[in-house]
Amino acid sequence: MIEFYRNIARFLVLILTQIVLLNQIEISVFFNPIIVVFLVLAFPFDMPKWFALLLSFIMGLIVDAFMNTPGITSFALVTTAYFRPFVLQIIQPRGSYQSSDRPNVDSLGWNWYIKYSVVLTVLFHLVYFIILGLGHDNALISLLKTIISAVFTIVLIFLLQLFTLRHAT
Amino acid sequence: MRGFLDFLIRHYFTFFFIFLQSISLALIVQYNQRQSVVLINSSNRFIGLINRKLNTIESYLSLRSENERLLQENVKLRNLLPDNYKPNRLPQTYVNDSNLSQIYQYIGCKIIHSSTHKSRNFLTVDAGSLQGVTIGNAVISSEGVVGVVKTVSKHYASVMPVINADFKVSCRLNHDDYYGSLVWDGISSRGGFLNDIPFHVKVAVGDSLFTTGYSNIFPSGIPVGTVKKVSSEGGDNFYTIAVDLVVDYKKIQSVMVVNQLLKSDMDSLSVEIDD
Repeated sequence: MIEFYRNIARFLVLILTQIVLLNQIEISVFFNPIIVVFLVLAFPFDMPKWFALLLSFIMGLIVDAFMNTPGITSFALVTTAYFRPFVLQIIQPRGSYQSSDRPNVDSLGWNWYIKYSVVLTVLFHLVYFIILGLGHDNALISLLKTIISAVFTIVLIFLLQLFTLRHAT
Repeated sequence: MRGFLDFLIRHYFTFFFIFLQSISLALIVQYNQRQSVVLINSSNRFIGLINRKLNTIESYLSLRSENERLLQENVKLRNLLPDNYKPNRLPQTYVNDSNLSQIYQYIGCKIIHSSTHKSRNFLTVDAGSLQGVTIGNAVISSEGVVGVVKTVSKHYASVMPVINADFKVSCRLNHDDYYGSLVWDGISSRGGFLNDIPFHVKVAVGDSLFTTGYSNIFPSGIPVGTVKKVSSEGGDNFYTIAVDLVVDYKKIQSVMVVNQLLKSDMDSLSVEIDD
């Protein structure tokens, strides 16, 4: 039950961070990190797959409402949630996942977590900026936006991991 | 039939994925059409409220420059007051109100939220349908063209500014009647491109651009920007003209929505022609 409340709290904190902090930073069109993707990364392993899809969809719509991009964030988040099980399978540690495992550094180590977060964060930003740029941006600009924003998001996610790591030990 | 059901159940994950993605796609497509009614955007009442709270903090930070700008505008307007003028000769024509119909109605409002460095920048203003704002209205500031109203709720409206990849407005050069369409350059918060100006037109750096009034949205003669760089590269018969926009979206705080009262008259005409 504590786990449940922690997840709800994490959900609120991250969505607020996205809206109140990250969306207000206006440095360049290339800098547009979407930290909400971390929520999809943090879904527990035993969460039903359909529920993961539905939850990503709803979270995407909430972010979209604030950014005036209806459908775009939800599209990219649902895509990420759809491919997550496949990525999990590919990078599965030796002897598969234990029931006590959580998708974080504490539980599975940096090596695993870097592979996991980089693949899914880049996938998310790639889909996001391709859809966002349809008909306006050429491939190079979309790619540049993806790289710059994804790198920043990944750094933020690692910082979040470091932060929670210290708490645990 | 059973085989089909089994197939559905086995692949429910993928089908649910496709189902959710088609909703997202429908939202994306619907939003890109003009005049669409969308629930999920910043003109929504709840989101407007949050944005307004954020804005009260932001507006304190730029009070000084905003005051200065208001002062300048006051001086300008005060100079236009009728009390300042003495007629050179007695009026010769009597203008009866019933002879005139008002074309434009200006609604003053405050920007409560704006983005300037996204691919699809947006402004939210604190006037909505109750104040007379309708979808498709022009939005201008004392400096020039700001954007077009995209969605409206009772108390708020979201505005698509010039610095949005979907924005387009027709502009003419100050010394010539040639006009082209102005779009955002996609990167800087004050840069745009003017397209469709043929090679035989003389264009110089520093020329001003004004709205044409052809689009039935903006009144004609509102400043849009100045020519920054003219180049004749590319295979077409048209210049590539880089433009500096007049409005600084990072500073702007108050704007006017222009309601074109005769728009329905004009639209009904063009419908008749289309038929």
